[in-house]
Amino acid sequence: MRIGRGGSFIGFENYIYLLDDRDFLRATGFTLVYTFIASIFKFSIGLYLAVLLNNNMPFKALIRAVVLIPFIVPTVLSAVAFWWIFDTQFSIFTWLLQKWGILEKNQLINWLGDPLLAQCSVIFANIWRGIPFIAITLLAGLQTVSPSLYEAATLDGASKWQMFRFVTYPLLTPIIAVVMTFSVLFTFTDFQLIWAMTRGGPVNATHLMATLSYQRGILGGRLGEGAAIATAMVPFLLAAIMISWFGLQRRKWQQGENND
Amino acid sequence: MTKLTRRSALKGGAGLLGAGALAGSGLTDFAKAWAQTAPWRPEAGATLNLMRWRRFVVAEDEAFNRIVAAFTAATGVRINVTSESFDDMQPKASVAANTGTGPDMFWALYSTPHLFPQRCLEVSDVADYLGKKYGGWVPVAEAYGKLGDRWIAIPAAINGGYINYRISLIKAAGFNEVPTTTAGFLELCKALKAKNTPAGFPLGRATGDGNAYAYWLLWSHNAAQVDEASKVIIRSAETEAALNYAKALYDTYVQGTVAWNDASNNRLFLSGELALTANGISIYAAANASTDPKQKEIAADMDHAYWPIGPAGRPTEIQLCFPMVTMAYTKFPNACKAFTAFMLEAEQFNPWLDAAAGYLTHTLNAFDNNPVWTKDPKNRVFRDAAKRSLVAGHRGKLDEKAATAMADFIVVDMFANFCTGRETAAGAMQLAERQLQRIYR
Repeated sequence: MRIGRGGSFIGFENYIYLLDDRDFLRATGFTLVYTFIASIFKFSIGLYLAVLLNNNMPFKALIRAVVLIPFIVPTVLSAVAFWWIFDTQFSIFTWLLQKWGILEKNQLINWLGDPLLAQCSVIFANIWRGIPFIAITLLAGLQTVSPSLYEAATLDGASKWQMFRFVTYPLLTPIIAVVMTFSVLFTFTDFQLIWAMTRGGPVNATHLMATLSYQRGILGGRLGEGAAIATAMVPFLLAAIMISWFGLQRRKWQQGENND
Repeated sequence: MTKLTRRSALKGGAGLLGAGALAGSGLTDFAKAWAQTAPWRPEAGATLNLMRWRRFVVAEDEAFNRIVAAFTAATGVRINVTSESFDDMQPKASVAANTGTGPDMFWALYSTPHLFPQRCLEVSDVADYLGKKYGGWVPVAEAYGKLGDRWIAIPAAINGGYINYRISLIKAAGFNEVPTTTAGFLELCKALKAKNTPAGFPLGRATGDGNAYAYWLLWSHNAAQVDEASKVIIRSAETEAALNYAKALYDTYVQGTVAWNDASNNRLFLSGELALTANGISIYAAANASTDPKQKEIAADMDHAYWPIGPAGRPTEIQLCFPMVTMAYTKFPNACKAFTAFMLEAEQFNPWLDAAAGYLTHTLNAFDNNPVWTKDPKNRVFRDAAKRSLVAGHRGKLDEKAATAMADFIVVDMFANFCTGRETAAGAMQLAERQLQRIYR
């Protein structure tokens, strides 16, 4: 099917073609890696931030608001900023490394020009953008934990780590499940960040399934193939939803592990 | 109700100003006289929506708007002009063609009309009228405008892209001018690299500059994506020679070229860190228009040159065509045709070409004498952009398949895959062949 005319039925031809298409397979692989790595980092840093922000400190409200900034800035704007940050010639990272003497004066880092570095760069940008969502939501969860539980734990002589491990964490699990489901879905279907930073380049190394679908379906004019790529995302998304859905049903997840 | 925003108020103001200036200049008188005799009578009460690519040269846009204002004054046909960035033009046009609603006219890029030829209004009468009056169309214009014997678009202008270089830097590298052969050109790039003032060409997602570079590499070595019968012939000894040549060039380049988009080389050249690249006249125009003395210095120290000629033995350039497309669904076909013809009449087109300062090249032979090509010698190479250009399909037909291959960066990726070492020559060609075969089946 092409833009601007009727289609003809070709069965699963698009899928069969894609199964043998190196760029599609690479994009699928990278989408999984991108989602997996970004989610792990976002979760760990987000949880750590949430616990930190839950403490009493001066200017608490202001600091909590500041943490939200990456989430508030429109994605395209932050992506364009990252595009400059990772520019080969004008990168601030390269400049800093040169200042500190780690790099030679004229030595450059080909951030978005090297496939592996470009992949790391976009994942970094995604993590930066995704942390506040997780941190603030988990913070809301932390606020619901009754202080009397901590008092009881203190009386029992629990250490900081034990308090986190046996009080905070079990009570936070349902919220973690919901937040991570959303986070994984958003990351998996990411588009703007990649499109503004690399357009899927260099040599298609940073294409996610969503951007490849747009490239082939809209820019390339092959709607059917673009739609097939988009449809191929569904099983992965369903799997992600299933895991958290069935997880949420279990009391273990709802009330802590030793509570069957 | 018309929504009044700051933007529309500004536009309205500009329109009024334009109309005021016109009354004095006599353009309106010409326009009125023209409207009396023109072969196309706009439908009563016609209002047109026209979408064009977003301007790069402010004066060009202003000149275009003056033409629109003159047309409105003479015929009473209002034209709402909106603009979109290069990359968004083709999707917008495709969706409009698909759904049958949207702007009446698109001033689009490359072979966009060939993506949906049956949705374009036939404009053979306009093309014949203009061709007879202005010394005929250049061959590339016929290729872009025609499908078989029918004209489906009027290629209003070509945007030339040529070698941009810093005079002092190539002198320092031991060259007085840019060599005219690919072999000599490689020597120049090597010498520039040795002086630590490297050249650079985009191998990334640069719709204009990237495709221009990749197709020049391919065609200059006598290779092509398809033959006359639309058979895919990308896997060939010629392509392999082109790949090896590209790799040798790539090794002399500034870092980061695989991540470049259309704006990257402009930026780097204007920052003084790039000695040589390929681009439209926009770098020179921007440097000239700037008040910054450093930019003025770059403008004075730069010049343009033709693309070098390779084993193919003739110019093998692909230049960006801007076809004016009227959609078949328009309710006012005559008004659209009248405007298309009006816009290319010498009284309109000459000042427009002049205002574009080399960014646009004419496709009608009679405009060779426009003063824009002689008043600044650095503009001159761009005069020949339309005559030297080959079309998107090259040996094959200029059809939607050629347009798709270009929109998908297949040839750009083939070179990028090989130059970055991600694929062997055979692997890169095989990947491109497989994608092309799917498009050309």
